[in-house]
Amino acid sequence: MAVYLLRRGGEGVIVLALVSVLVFALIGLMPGDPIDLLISADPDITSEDAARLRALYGLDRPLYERYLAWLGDALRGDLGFSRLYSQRVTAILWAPLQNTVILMSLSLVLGLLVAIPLALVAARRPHGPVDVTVNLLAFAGFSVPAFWLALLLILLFAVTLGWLPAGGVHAVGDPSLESRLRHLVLPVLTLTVLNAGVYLRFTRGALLEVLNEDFMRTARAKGLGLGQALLRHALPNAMLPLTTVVALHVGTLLSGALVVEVVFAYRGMGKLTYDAILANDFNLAMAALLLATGLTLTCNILADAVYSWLDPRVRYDD
Amino acid sequence: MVRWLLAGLLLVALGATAPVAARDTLRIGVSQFPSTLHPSIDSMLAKTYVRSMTLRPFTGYGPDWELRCFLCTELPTLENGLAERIERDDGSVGVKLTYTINPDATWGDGVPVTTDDVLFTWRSGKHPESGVANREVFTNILDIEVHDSRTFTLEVDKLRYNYNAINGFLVLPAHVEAEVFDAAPATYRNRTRFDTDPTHPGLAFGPYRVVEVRTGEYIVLERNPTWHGTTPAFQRIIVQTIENTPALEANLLAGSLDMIAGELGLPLEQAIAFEQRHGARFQVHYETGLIYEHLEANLDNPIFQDRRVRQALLYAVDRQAMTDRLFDGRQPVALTNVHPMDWVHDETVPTFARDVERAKALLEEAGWTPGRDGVRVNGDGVRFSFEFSTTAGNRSRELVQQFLQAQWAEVGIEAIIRNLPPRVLFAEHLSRRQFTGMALFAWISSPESPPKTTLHSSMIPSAENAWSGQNYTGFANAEVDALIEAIEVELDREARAQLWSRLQYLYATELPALPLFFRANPHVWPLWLEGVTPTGHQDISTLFVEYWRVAD
Amino acid sequence: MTTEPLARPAARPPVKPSAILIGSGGVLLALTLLCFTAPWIAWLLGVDGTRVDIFNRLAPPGADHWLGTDELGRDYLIRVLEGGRVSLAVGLIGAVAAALIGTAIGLIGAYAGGRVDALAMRLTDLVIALPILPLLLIVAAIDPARLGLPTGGLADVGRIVVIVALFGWPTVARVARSAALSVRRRTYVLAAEALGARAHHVLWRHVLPNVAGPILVAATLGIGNVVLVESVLSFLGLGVQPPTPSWGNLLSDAQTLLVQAPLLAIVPGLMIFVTVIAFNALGDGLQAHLDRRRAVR
Repeated sequence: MAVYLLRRGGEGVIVLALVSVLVFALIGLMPGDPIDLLISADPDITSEDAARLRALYGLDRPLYERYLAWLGDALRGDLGFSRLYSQRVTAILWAPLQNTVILMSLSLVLGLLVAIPLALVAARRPHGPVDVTVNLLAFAGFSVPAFWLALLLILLFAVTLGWLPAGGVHAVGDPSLESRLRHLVLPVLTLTVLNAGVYLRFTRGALLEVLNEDFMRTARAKGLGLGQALLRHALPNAMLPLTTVVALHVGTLLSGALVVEVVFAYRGMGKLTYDAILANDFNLAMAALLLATGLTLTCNILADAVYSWLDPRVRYDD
Repeated sequence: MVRWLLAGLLLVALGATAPVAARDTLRIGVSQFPSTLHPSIDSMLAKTYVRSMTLRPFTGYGPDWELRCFLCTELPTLENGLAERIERDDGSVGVKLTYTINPDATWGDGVPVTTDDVLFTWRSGKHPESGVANREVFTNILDIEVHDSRTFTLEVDKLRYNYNAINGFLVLPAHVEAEVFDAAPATYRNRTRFDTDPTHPGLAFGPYRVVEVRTGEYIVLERNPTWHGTTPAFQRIIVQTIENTPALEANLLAGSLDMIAGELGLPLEQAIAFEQRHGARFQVHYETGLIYEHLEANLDNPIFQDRRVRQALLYAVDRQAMTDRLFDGRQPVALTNVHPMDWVHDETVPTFARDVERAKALLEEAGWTPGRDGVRVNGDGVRFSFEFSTTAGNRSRELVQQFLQAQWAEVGIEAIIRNLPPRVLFAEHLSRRQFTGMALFAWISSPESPPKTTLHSSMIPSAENAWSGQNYTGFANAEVDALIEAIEVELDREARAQLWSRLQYLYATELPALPLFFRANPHVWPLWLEGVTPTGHQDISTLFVEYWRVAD
Repeated sequence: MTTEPLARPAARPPVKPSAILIGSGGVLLALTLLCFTAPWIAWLLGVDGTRVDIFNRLAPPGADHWLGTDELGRDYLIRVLEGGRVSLAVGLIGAVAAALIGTAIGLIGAYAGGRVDALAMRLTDLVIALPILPLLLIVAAIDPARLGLPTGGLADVGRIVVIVALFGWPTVARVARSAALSVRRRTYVLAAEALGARAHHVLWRHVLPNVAGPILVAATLGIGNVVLVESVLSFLGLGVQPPTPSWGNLLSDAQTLLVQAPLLAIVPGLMIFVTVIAFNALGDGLQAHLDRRRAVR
């Protein structure tokens, strides 16, 4: 097991290195550079100024040289400065990271809290009216375009009813818990609907599968009640695959909420990544994307580990 | 725990509205966060907005579009003797300018603003590695002669019509920044205290100083006790960044913002819709400015070379209806590149009101006859079809563009829309003159600014001149060149006005670019705020923040 | 060939398609028909989805314009249908392209085995581990002209198709691989191999027909996904560019008019929603249908 994890970890590092090359090359292919953006904003900048600034920021060097320079610094723990905010990249990432973790963990937990009870109810009578309704809800949940749902929620709760703020992390000049919570309601609601749809479908499927297994049929035949069967036997067994799904989901945490964060102007990792890409902020985009990839990889490995730990039949020997 | 949280969320959701702020704080919403707070590195509207409250330039334009002193005590002129014409041996004419720093000007930590600061600013500004965006401001100054701690004389390379304007010279605190700069100029831009220690009191001598910065979110300013001018009415000003403009508007309505900056706030269409619904709760003020929206065609393309064709393109579109219907008439139709509020503006030039018949006649004259598919063709069988680009994602430009496309189609001209992200449009498409058709964008200028970089034939970007200049159309006219050169060194106002009139006449008839309109900035203020003076040029409203007041 | 009879399973009793299959299929057929006949519908209603009329901006729904007009006075119903044409085309072509790439990689991996398989699966894992959406944004921001590719109009749509295919194939690859592996262990394939059939022959004649079902299901589910991705990219301003409408950019444009004209935002979103649900249901129904067919067999 330890060997297996170590090997997967080693692979993860290689993947991360590959991704850094890929992302750097892709960013290099994006047209224009920060100096071009500067020129378009200031007609007084001369081409001499532009050439001088390009040389200063190292933008005149070939892409591979810039990558090697970046890699050298990164390995020494220096991720460079953000062009967008003139701060160290590491200093900028912290607050958005916290914001995203709060947003995603709340919607993840709420998604499970909605999904599991509904799945239990649905599994009582497969293909019955309740099950069909629940199934439909699940379909709707994971098919709805997140940004559209977000817009509709803004339209209803922020514009029409005026109950909730339409965007931001907290009210201006008011970073209190209450203000933060009020600003979390709509984005969390949007993501919860999406998550719940996925979890619901998955849990229901897993429950039905367990109910159909021979040992359950035997138990039921011997007089075990349906409720008991579901709660005591099917649910614990269904939790196993669900854990994997949730673990994989956590992996997408950093970039997963990008659209929702953009619509709600919620300053999290997704929005930061989006802003960095649009503004050609190389260093910030690199750091954010590598962080997201690293998390996905870690969670994939953890999902496998958890799976094998919970299910002794699975072995990772090879 | 989780259920508790859920209940909490619901409770909060149904709970109280945002608290009403006391009137000693003004909360301003803007749509951009400054990339740096250093005055000369990078040029960005969001920074200018904040910086104008903490620092003041030596000279600048007032709301009346006239040059005035901000940090200096008196504008040097040839008449008052503070400016002196100097003729050099090589025949060039320069100027010596004597300025005196306001004797009460004091940095927030109690250190007076002195000529040491001026010298440091010049020294660091002209250093090639300092990261300063526009170095010309500093390299044009050949020498600085210091008389005492407050008075100094600049020697400037050339005597220009606006010789006494040194608007871009923003004085830096030598006692705070010099040691940082001298340690390593090449990395100064990353280590400047404006970014590493932005709340240092020694970085401001204006009415406000920065007391808190949350990167990407907000900047809090408080009254600067050492400010030498009028005491501002508000103890605190919070500049909050919300890039998403619907969210910006929602925050204003929810009461968590007091106002939205006009210079970088709501798009005009959104503001018009906002005023229709909430006009009673807020003051909405539209200020047209020196942002000139226009069309540039690549004149190397044979289609556009004929002047009659360019005139026909303009006759074919109803610019008045466009601004009336799309922008509620808030953006005045442009006759030329000179703004109506500019004192050199000449309104007697040809105006090109919509005249479809005239447009068709001009096209026929130029040899373009209706083709089989409705698009005109010339004698060689070339179709009148071109690619039409603007900045992708700019909603109002995209609307204007589709409107123009439809109106041109009516006279048999085909415009194929292909939009590009701003950086592509400006970086490669235009500045390398890779475009073959037409582009819609804006130039930002200052009051009475000769269009040298955009119209002079020496400013046509090419490989030979290392792609410098912004004459993207490739317009070359000897008389226009001569006029621009003459305006730059003509010191007599009346004589200059004559030159400007001729230039505008040539612009309106030759049409190097097709004028559309001047953009308007919508300022949204609470009913209780007064004294805000939008300017319409690059010296923006916060330069006068100390006059903002709570109405009685 | 001697293997011929082995490849053909015995005749199956027909399995009736389920209600969900018929329902979702019907909805999609109707949507597609409506979208692709938009010009005729416009002609029938006497409206025009491209004619700009600034004296009739943001008109409310009425007899002349069933869904009102947009910011430039164009008939919104026709705009939405024409947008659907782009969105559906991108969805279908993108998903098919992704399925082709995925099937090729999955089958090659399953059939070649060993190092090739390991490499193929590592590649699949790699793409799955990538933060897809931000990378899509970067790829979408790349200037095709810099790579010597055509730009504008149709090329724009083509670019989106390539982008979604580039990142959409791993799911299909996994499905194809596991299906192919299970087929390979079946007796008739083993028999064919034992009889000396060449690899590509076995792959083409025996394996592919038998893995088509699961791949079809994966591809169908993929269409809904691609429609979503296209709408997100266009919504963020990096997808299909105006004046070519797509559901994503219609929604993006409507965002600032949310209060004045909420319908402009509701309709295209609803279309995306219905389309994605229908494709997911279709995929689900197909899966169930195939399962039952197998059970019956």
